[in-house]
Amino acid sequence: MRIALASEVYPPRAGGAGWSTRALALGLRAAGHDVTVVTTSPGAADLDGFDVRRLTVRGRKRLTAPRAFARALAGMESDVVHAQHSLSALGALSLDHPSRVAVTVRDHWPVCFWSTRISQGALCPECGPGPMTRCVVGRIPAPGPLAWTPIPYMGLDLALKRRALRRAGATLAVSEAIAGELRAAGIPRVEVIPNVVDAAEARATAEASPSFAVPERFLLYVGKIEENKGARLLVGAVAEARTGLPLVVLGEGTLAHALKFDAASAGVPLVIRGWAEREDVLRCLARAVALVFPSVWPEPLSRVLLEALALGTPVAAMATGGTRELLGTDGAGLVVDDAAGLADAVARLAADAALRERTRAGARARAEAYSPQALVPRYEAVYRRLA
Amino acid sequence: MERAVYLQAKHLQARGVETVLVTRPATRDGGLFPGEVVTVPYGSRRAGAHGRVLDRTVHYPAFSARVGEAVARLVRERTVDIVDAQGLAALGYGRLRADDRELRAPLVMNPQGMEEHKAGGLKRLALTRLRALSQEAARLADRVVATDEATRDEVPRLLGVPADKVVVLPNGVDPDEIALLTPADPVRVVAKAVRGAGAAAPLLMSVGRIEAYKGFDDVLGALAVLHDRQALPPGWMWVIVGGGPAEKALRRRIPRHLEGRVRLAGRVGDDVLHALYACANAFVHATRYEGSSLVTLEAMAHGLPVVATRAGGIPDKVVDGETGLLVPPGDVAALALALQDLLHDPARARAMGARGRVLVAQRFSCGVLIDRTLAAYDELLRARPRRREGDA
Repeated sequence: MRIALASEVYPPRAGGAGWSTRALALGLRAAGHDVTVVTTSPGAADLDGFDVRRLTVRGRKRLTAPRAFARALAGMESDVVHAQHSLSALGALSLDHPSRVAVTVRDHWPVCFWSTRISQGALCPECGPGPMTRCVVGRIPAPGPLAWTPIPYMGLDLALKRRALRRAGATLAVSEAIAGELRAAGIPRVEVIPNVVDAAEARATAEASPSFAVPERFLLYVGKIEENKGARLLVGAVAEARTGLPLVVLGEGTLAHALKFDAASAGVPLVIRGWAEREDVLRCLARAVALVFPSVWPEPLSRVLLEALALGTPVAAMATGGTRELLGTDGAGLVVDDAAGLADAVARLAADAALRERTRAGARARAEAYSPQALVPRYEAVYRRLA
Repeated sequence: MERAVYLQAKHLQARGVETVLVTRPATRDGGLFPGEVVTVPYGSRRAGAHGRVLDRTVHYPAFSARVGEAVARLVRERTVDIVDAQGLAALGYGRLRADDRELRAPLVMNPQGMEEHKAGGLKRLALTRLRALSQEAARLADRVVATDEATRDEVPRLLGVPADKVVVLPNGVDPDEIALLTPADPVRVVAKAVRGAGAAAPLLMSVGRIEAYKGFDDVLGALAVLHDRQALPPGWMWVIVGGGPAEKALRRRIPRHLEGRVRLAGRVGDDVLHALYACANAFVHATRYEGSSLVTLEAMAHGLPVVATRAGGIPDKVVDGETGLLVPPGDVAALALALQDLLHDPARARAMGARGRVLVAQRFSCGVLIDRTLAAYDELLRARPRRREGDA
């Protein structure tokens, strides 16, 4: 089958969404399909041997990227288009045959203008003009009620996005958590197919040493150093666990300085390595005593957790969004509800080698559910229905 | 373009300036030109063929040379004082004049839409030669016309001429003629021509060639989302006048439940067009690229408030919040918001329309604009080198 994958983010330089798209592309190719990637990310046009069409987009991306995707996709002969994110989806759905388009929803873009469902540090119970008066504060640089002026625009923009998504032949949510909010928003034909992780590939990549020195035993945090990722809880939880282990942080963000300040005052040895290549992330994951995952926003389906599962990294994670369903109930990681629970979980993982071994085994077993062998046939079934 | 030339000639004559038009033989029913017409053969006999890229590349430069010869003859024999040429037609006379001091009449070039400089992709490649030629013509001209202040910078950038050669002479409309073209009983004409439009309130209209870049999709998207949120007055209807390559695609996009509210009227005669303007409550022009937009001026002359994109010369005419509402090109949510705002305050919409009509009368009616054209001509004639002693 000729499959076009459209994604605004794609490796080499990409976050979890981009790497998930690549894992899907590799899985589809292994199953014998003809895959073309269309993306607005820069990089090599033949990455991994795929035909990667790199589009250049100028001006306001929200307005120009969908058009660029539409133009590129209209000129291609594919049986199905699988859009991976909001702008690629808007472009693909403006084509003449939206029923041949599958859209993966991997964050909250159809229900939240900011795609996060976070307002002033807390989860939004619902959305509407009223609650929006809170979420614009700090995001719209205007004083007081003046910050409210974009609210009608935001509402219309969301309505337009949802309107487009309703035309899709299939809407694929990466987790039940995302599927639930899509169904509540009136999106038809929603089904859950999680992201793919190829454990064998991840383990092979992780065998070599990282390109930088890491301590013998350490706790690991991977991700943007931002409010929604729980950066404000991170050092507190590690300090309270009293493991004495250093904390290695792979990532950048606006709260990096706050993190350093917290660590210095709590006496936690901290190494911030900044943004790291995917190989280094995998290699650190394979060597860490435990991955600390303090996220406070409704995580759709964390790529870091998927890769931790594949590598058997013991995980202490907050149960938000799709995280609980990702880790399952068979001991693939410790899932907690608050900062105190997180500290307790980190302490137990650091102290108890037997517990670590059990979670390693549980994680690897759980990763099978996200293997290409398990998921590619489900994607194929969707494509066959649409083509 | 034909219309603009016609209006220019008519108003020049009204000021006592004699005009002679050099053009190709009429391919369709031309109106009567106010003044003498000299025709030169075009090269291709196919009617309307001059719109195609290949045909233009092959025939137009040669046609321009023949126009140049004819113009040069008129300049020598009949003491024509000024040559005002549309687009590449300037090239022939410009080249002849460069080598012949006898040809003293200054050359003004109006590059019109400069489409060959704005096209992208394959079309751009195909138009390479025409681009080079139109730049040459602009270099040979004494003045190059920009149609709007908003696009004044485009002319030096695209045509490679110094900025002091650019003169801004807007395309205008003729309110008297518009009054003549408008039927006395517009509601009846509209009701007959477009099913359901006679009773629609509010009636929105758009006019233009239906091409992807004209943004009709965006209007449809905006109206659909507003309709589904019940944010539009119950009797609304949107009529699109014009045909074009994207007509079928646009028709297919109309959601079934809006089929009674969105009407593609196709190409219509002047009477129906102006009857629609007279009956409509607002004009919507969501194009992503624009030259100077005469249809926007026509709508304003009819007293319609305009919701438009900030593209090309539109901001010269539509003053945001005064004579209409402006939104960024391609921003469907902003367009929806503007439509909602306008339709929910009919009094404000009417006031905007009325201000627009005044603006057109004061700044964009041909009678006013012709003064600027004459001033530009006068300046060139004063600067013309004196005939030297001994020259024939």
